[in-house]
Parts: sequence; C-alpha cells; structure tokens
Amino acid sequence: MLALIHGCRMNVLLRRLTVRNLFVCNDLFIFQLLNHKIKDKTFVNKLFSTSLELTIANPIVNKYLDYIMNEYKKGKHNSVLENIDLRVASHLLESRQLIIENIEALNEMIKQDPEMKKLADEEQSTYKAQLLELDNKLLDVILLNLGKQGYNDIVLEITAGVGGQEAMLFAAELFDMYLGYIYYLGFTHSIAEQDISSTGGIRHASILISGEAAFDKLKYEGGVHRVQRIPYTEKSGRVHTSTVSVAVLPQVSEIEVALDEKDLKIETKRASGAGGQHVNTTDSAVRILHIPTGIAVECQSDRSQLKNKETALTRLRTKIYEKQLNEQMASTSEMRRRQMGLGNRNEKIRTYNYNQDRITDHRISNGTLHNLKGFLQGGEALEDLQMRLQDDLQKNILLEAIKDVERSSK
Amino acid sequence: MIPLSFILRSRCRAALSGCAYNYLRVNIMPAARVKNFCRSSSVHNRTIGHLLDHWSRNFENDGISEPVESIEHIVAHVMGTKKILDLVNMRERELTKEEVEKLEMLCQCRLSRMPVQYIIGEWDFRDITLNLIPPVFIPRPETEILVDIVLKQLSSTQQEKCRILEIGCGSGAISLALAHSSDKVQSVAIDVNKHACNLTRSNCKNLGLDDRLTIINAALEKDGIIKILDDTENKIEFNREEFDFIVSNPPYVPTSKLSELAPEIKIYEDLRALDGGSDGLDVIKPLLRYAAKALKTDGSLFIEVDTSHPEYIVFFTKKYSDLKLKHLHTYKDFCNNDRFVQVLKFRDV
Ligand SMILES: C[S@@+](CC[C@H](N)C(=O)[O-])C[C@H]1O[C@@H](n2cnc3c(N)ncnc32)[C@H](O)[C@@H]1O
Repeated sequence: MLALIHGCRMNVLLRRLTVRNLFVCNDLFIFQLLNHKIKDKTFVNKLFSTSLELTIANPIVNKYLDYIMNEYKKGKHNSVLENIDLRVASHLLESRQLIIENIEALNEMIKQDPEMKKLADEEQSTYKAQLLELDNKLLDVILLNLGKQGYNDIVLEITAGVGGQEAMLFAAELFDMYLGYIYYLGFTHSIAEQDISSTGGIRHASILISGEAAFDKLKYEGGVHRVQRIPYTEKSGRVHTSTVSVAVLPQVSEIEVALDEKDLKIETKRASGAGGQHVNTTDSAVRILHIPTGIAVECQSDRSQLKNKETALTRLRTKIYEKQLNEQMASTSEMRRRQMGLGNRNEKIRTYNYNQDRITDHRISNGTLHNLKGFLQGGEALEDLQMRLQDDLQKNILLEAIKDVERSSK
Repeated sequence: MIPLSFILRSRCRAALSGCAYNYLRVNIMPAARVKNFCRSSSVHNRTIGHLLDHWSRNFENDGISEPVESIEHIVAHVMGTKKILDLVNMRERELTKEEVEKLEMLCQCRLSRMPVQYIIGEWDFRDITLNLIPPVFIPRPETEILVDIVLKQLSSTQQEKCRILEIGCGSGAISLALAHSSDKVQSVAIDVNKHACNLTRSNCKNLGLDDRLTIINAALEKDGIIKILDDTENKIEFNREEFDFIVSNPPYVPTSKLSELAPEIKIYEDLRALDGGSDGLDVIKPLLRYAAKALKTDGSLFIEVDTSHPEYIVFFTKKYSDLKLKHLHTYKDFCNNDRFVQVLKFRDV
C-alpha cells in the first residue's frame, strides 16, 4: 500500500499531510468508523488528521468518484455536485466515463476471446494509468473549492481574555502579527477600533480587512489563543497562562442584515450640552447600541463622525449576523460550523509557549512549530499553518461527503 | 480679549508659515512650565511614543482641551497620515530634527488654543477632506447629518437634476459633500465672507467639483433679499431664481452666549459665522422669507438650528401664512437635540 501511495502523483493539497499512521489506516477500520455514529468529534478530527490519506489509492475515494460520475451522468441537480466547479470538472467526468466504458469493453472482449488477453492487458494498463491521472485531477478540482467561502471583506476582532495586563500585551503582539500577515498577503486594512491599556497592551481591537478570499485566509484564526510565559512584569519568574480571543467574520452588507433605525441608540462623546456651533472638538467617536440584542459597538478610526458611524454599523451588522448564524447553526455539525469559520468561540485553538519557543495548534496533530518570534511576524509560517488547517478541513468535508454517499448507497 | 486674540492669531500664523516666534509664548506661559518646556525640547528622545506622552502631558498641565487627541492629530499630520490609530504602531519610530521642529511649532499653536483643525490645516467632513484656514468656520459633525437628510430627500425625488442653493457656505462643507454624493446636484453657494468664498472655491477645485457648484460672494439681508457683493462674479438673479432645495447652517448662537464659548472658537473662528443676534434668529428669519420667494412649489428649506428654534419656526410659518411655508419635520442630532428643520413651500389653494 505504501508503494502504491508513493507511486501515484499525490494530490498537491494532500501531499503536505503526514503519513505517520499509515498502517493503521486500512479500509476496514475506515468503514467501521464511517458506519459508526460518531460522537466524539475531536477524536475523529485527530484521528483523521493523522492517519487518513484521502487519495485515489483509497478505494473509498474511488467509490465516491464513481458516485459523483454517476450522479453527473444522471444530469439531475444533486447536492454532492454543489461544491464542485463543473466548468472544469465536467469534461473530466465525461472522459472518466469513457475510459471506464473502454475498460469494461476490454474485459468483455477478453471473456469472449482469451487469445486477445495479452494485447488487451497492455491496453488495459494504459487506460488504468489514464484513469489514475484523471482521478487525481478530479480530486484536485473537488478539493479546490471545498470549504471555501470566498468573502473578500472581513472583520477581525481581537479581545484580551484572562490574564489582565499580560493578556493585553499578548493581544497587542497578535495584533501586530495580523498586521504583518495582512501585509504579507498584500491585503488592505483599516483599524476600526483599538482600545489600548495603560501598559501599551490591547484590550480590544477591530480590523477591517480586504483582499482576495480574505475570509478563507484568516478564518482559521478564530478561537482562543493561549500564551504561556513569564510576564515582563513578573519578578518571581513564574510562568503565567493568559488568553486572547480572536473572531473572524465576513463583513455583512445592508441587504444581508437590515437594521431598523428605531432599534439603534447612537451616542457620541461630543458634549451633551448645547452642541452644534457651540462646540468644536476633534472627537468623532461613535457608539451604537442595538437595543433588541444588546450588542454595542464603537468606532473612532476616522475624523468624520459619519464615517465612524458607517464603520460601526458594518461591525454591528457583522456581530448580529454572527449571532443569528450561531443560533441557526446550533444544531449543525461542528465541521459545518468550522467551514463557516464559526468553530467554537471558546475553543482553545493554539498555544504559544515562550519557554519552549513553540507554537502548538490543537486542531491538527503534529501542529507544533518552533521559532515563535518568526511565527509572530505573520509571514510564511502562519500561511503554512493556515494551509495545513485548510487541508485538514477539506479532507474532513470530503470524508463527510463520502460518508453520506456510503449511507445513501446502503 | 481682542488684542490677545490678535496676537495669538498672528503668532500662530507665523508658526504655521514656518517662522518661529518663540518670544511671544513666554509672555503667556507660567514660569514653571517654561522651564519644563525648554528642558523638554528633547534632542535626546525623538520617538513618536515619547513625543506623544510628553506633549499630552504639557497640554494637560496647561488646561488645553483634548490634550491627547490634540497631540495625536498633530503628530499624525507631521507623519502624513489622517488616522491617529496608525500612530499606535509607530511609537518606536523616530522623527527627524526638522520634523520635531515643525511639531513643536504646531504644538505652540495648540498651547495658544488654536483649534487642531486649523493647526493641521484640514479636516474630514463625511467622505471628503476640506482644507481649513482661520477664521473660516470649522464644520461641525452634526452638520454631516444635515447632509444626510438632504440626500435622503434627493434620492426620493424623481427629477434628474436638483438645483440647490446654500446660504453661508463657509468652507464649502455642505455643498461639496452634497455634490460629491449625488450626481443630481447642481448648486449655488453664497457667503457674506469673501475668505469663505475663496476657501470653498479652492476646496471645490481640489475635489474636482468645479462644474457642479457656483460660488458667489453675496449676503442675505434682513429683509430676505440676497445682495451680490462682488460684481465681477457670475451673475445670478437671486431675487428671481427658483431652487428645488435651499440648505443652510446659518449663525444661530444667541449673542449673549458667545462669551461662554471655548477660546478655540472665540479667538480663532469668525464670530459672524456663529452670532445669530439676540435670540439667534437674525439670519433664520430672512432665510424663511427668502425661501418663501425662491423655492419652487413642493421645494424644501433645510436648516440647522439651535434646539430652541424649531418651536419658533412652527410659530413663524403659522403666523405668516401668506408665505405658504409649512414646518414639515424636526430632526434630532446624535445627542438627541432638536437640530434640523425641514420647511416645505406648498402649493396655492
Ligand atoms: C455656521 S457657518 C456655516 C458654514 C458651513 N456651511 C458649515 O456648515 O460648515 C455660517 C456661515 O454663514 C455666513 N453668513 C453669516 N451671515 C450671512 C449672511 N447674512 N449672508 C450670507 N452668509 C452669511 C458666515 O460667513 C459663515 O461662513
């Protein structure tokens, strides 16, 4: 089996994945899992991220491709085809169909005329090689859009959690990391809010980011980030654990979440006295409270009050959208939530350990990296990790799809 | 007060144009702070973080309003950015000697209570940036809402073009924001102050809106007639013209309240831009009379007013029913004050 996997051109996206527990990964085991009503998702995630090679060498993948091909042939609208870019996939599916028919025809021929076997064998192996290549391409196409939302405008919010000033200092470091990452990716940004603590840490910050598929590039950052180190202020040299939470959401348009003026309480810091011509200040901060949900946002990034109001409204809509989505998806699978970038807000996703100079991402196995300082610059290392998380997610989605096929074919 | 304001103004003008007039500041600075000030001309530490801390403390000690914001905007200006939030990530950066000199000069202006908007020479109004030169009135954020109200009305009219007159354009904030936001707008703006007209003109040019706005130096007189002051300019028959909308942020502060205003306003802004006479209605009454003549039927007058004025406007339109004006709506600002009034010119019955 090992030889087989090495022999085939492994999918680019899957190539990064480890082959550590390859031998555990026999078909029987996988089918057991598929048929089992899986309760412990973390167990499954862990297991699959270490062990399963979703390449075409795997019969269940083959079965899945067969299924897709047949559904495509039927020409019906089918949800399994929804996420697949058919403009690219359709000719692959048609060619595949043809090759399989040819193989079947050859088999038929051999049955009738054993004399031809030698000749047919040669042809047979050519077809099989073609099929292999085709299936690889097909898998590439399928994986390409899997789990991607394609939003270009997003909001990234950083909030210091437990750990007081130390958490705020780390929030500031994460903030810098994301600015570095935004720069590295060639995205644009504007800081909507930044609440600085007395020691220069960040209580809360909000960045609006725009760039090609920005959401897919940053959604894996959502969750709780944990730092373990000796705070600069700590004299006794004791290691503290502090947390910072990060939320990533697509910016929501007026159409997606309509707000009723009556539900909004807009406040400014301008003197509540006479106002108007009586006052001249530079303060243009705006705070908006959405009365029905109790969600409040603030913005002070611009010199124009109106612009601050608009930015605040964008953030407010985003927050309301998140809330609605969370309610809607309360019953949805963990993976679907992850795909939407929702994850679990309170899930500890990553630990930054200074003593050991390591970063561990808890969502994937062997998610441990070194060179903390380099990582915090928000460059290649972060992108690499993001790609691995994406691979992992895609693989899980594919697996879920396969599972569905398995179920429905029973 | 007047000589002081004169001295301060001329000194700051000098600072803004790049010459140091340091001797004057000694006159108005307590001795203790002078020492502090001199010591602090920090040759040693020119990082942004240090300068921010140092000057915000200085401003605070001197009772300057918005000490932190003031220095943040000044530093941002020196660094060539509009966003003070950008500074947070620049704290370690060091300014050049020239930059520090410029910064200190601008800070002295602030110590003399010059408004930040004049010091940095510009400010944002809605989505446009306006150059601001003393003593032309600095646009207030409330007025952004007045523009919103007019824009909303504009989007609900069927007309292709909308002819708007602004009375008292100052820096051009309202007219330029309207033209910038809606292609329908074709306007005329007048101001009694020649400097205001010139500033509006240059802002108009910077925004590339020349063909959308005509600017005329003219005064709305007590009897509700507009008199052109500069006859070399465009000829518009104001007293025969008709407009779809008239919009204005007229002077509305009662004269008795002027002395209570902050030094930033009292010393540096043209008080004729704010002084609305004994009840603050000196320009509002003529505005209503002019609007009655110059508005098309179903046209609207939009004005920003003092909180006490809407009630009077209702009374006025009822009393002078021959003007065929109707108080349509009073809108609030973000502080929940009654701030804007829409008056409708209605059809003969
Ligand atoms: C409060 S400022 C408003 C400026 C500008 N529209 C704004 O909102 O920023 C009032 C302006 O009206 C002008 N003004 C005052 N009385 C006037 C009059 N009788 N006729 C024309 N303009 C007048 C002043 O020169 C000043 O520029």
